[in-house]
Amino acid sequence: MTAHVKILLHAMFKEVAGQREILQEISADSTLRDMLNTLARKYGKEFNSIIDPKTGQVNLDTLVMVNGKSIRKPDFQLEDNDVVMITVPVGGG
Amino acid sequence: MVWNRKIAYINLSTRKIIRKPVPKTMRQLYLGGRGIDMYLLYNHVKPKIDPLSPENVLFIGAGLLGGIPCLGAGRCDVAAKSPVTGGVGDSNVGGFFGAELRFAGFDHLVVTGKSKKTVYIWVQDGEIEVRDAADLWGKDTVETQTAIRQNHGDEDIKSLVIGVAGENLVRFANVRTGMKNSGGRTGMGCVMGSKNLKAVAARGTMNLEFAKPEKLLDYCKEMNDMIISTRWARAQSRWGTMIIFSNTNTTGLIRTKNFQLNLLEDGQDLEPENIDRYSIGTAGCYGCVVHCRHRYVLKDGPYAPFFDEGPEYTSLGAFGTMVNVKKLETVLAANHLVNKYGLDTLETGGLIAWAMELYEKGIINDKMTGGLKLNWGNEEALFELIHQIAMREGFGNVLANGFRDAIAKIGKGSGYYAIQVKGMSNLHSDERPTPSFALGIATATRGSDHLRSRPAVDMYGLPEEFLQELYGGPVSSDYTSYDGKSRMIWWQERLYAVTDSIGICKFQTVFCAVHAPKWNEFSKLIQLATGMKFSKSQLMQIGERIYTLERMFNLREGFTRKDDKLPERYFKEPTPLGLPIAKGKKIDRKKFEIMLDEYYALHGWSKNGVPTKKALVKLGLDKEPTHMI
Repeated sequence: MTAHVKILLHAMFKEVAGQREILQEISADSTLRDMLNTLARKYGKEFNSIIDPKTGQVNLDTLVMVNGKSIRKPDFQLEDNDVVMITVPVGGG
Repeated sequence: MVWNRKIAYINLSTRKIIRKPVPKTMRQLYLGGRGIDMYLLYNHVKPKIDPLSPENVLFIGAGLLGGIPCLGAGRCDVAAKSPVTGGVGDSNVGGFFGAELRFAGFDHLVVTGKSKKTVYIWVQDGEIEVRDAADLWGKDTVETQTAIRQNHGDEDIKSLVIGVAGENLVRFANVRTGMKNSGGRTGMGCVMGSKNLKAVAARGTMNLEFAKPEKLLDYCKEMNDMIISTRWARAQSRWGTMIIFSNTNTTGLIRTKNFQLNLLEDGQDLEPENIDRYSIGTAGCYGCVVHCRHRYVLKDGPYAPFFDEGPEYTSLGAFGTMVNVKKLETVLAANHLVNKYGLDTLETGGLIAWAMELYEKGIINDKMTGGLKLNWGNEEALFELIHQIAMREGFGNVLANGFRDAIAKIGKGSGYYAIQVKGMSNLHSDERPTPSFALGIATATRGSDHLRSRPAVDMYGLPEEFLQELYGGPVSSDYTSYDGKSRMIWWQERLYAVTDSIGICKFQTVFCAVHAPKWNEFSKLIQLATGMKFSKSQLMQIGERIYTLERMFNLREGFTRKDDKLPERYFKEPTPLGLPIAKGKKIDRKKFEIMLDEYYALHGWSKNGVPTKKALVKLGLDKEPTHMI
């Protein structure tokens, strides 16, 4: 059984992938790590360093939000119709 | 030593100029920049004066670290009683002016009285003159700077200037330096205009005598290398603060059509990469390796051809989402117009968006607007109204005194639709899904304001044990939660007060990233630059002292707990759009009041938001005003 997630790419992730939005098919038991690994295999570069090898979690200079909520642990279980945003933490005005 | 730059008192009525050293005690209590400006504000501005009278005093202060080659350390603080709020007037501007003022021998200027003729202040290598500005009056903010350079025959002069809006006493006129840098908020350009002061120009060749220059250089390089190695700095150096738009407009955290929607549908043209169509490169401020603003050229369209810098995220909201404009070119042209006139982009966009909603609801009509069709997205009306505000013409003159005055003039329940706190407009962020941000804008000492305390960190979902260590107490990692958010605001307020007092850029501290420089790095930089030692807790206490003094100024002007509020719409109208986490959100009034109680308690203030005697004694503020300088 498969599911679909919508991946929204911002900043350098969008630039490297050459697109803003990807509709990704995933298997029903896919985790965030599985999805990030797929992106890393396909696009490399920026996508290789989303997970910090020291902590095993999402790098602090990266923001991965699932349905608008920041997710740090890559074993997060994705569900059908999830919206995953990959971006950078920026503040200001 | 570097901390021993002078303070100059310049009386524009009498032309008398007095120079004094800045006492070391002042540094130990307030550092410099905003900190010393706030001390001066509380001590030199008499209670209840008219902000546009000669009794108001203008303070210009460079940061204690101004001139060091890292962290954007060229910032300058400009303060006075605000003609927008009637409370603390204070604006912090980047660029190069703050550093140049130090090179010219001064850290602080105190400008009193009012000149009979239009003048500018000329500061050069320890000397100060008040000069005639007849040939500068009427020029825009860039023309003014160019003319000053040409008059003196020196391309390296840095000036802090006002545009025509400041001359016309538009209450939210700003001060500007360079192509883009603005001391935007609280109407400091209006105060300059009220004194017939067109500009303050500086040129300096005096050495800054650092305590440990070689070690300081090494540490600055370490700071710069660390900053530029981060992904967020690389993103900001590529797209500037426009990059924020992608995140907030996706989630539903951006005010649209004034306050009716919380994201701009079909707003793809405002996405940050579209600046590439017009960009010819990027530029940075003094001592900055990030370079977060684009230099852009528009060859076609209204007011083209022109060159400008930016736009900041603020302008994407002010002249984009809030007025329902979906064309980047229109935003760039409006950004250019307010820059030339010297208007606060947030106040201008906030007022125009409000007027458009009033027009839609029939509260104002063509008769009141002088025929201006204030329909959503009408770019011709947008440009015309910016012009009218700056020139105080037509309906623009109704808006030129800011929200309070315009609400009183228009009446008919128009105040309900105004997104403002303490008379000052809000950034176009929609804080209904984020209680921490909401508390920040409600309590900020200079009116609705994201730069006094915004905890962008709240959005990152960091582990709660990590947040507890950072903030010194429990804080929820859920940005929609109210738990611990008062603590978050309290911590950020103190950090930003110190940041503004040492004269560095907020983007390069814990605004974007938790591991950016903060207390310990500040402490080391101050020691290497000045020889003065401050522990982390001492710096935090200085932040608390500055913020409490600002609070005391506002209380003296009549502000109370009832002014620490949100627009009613935050409590009544749920967000209609966005991802599920942001949709259907409004602020819970009861939880908000609890959060406010907690916030006061953390500061050591009473339930009414008044600092207790104990808190004042602890901070050494119980005898203010002390008139030490």
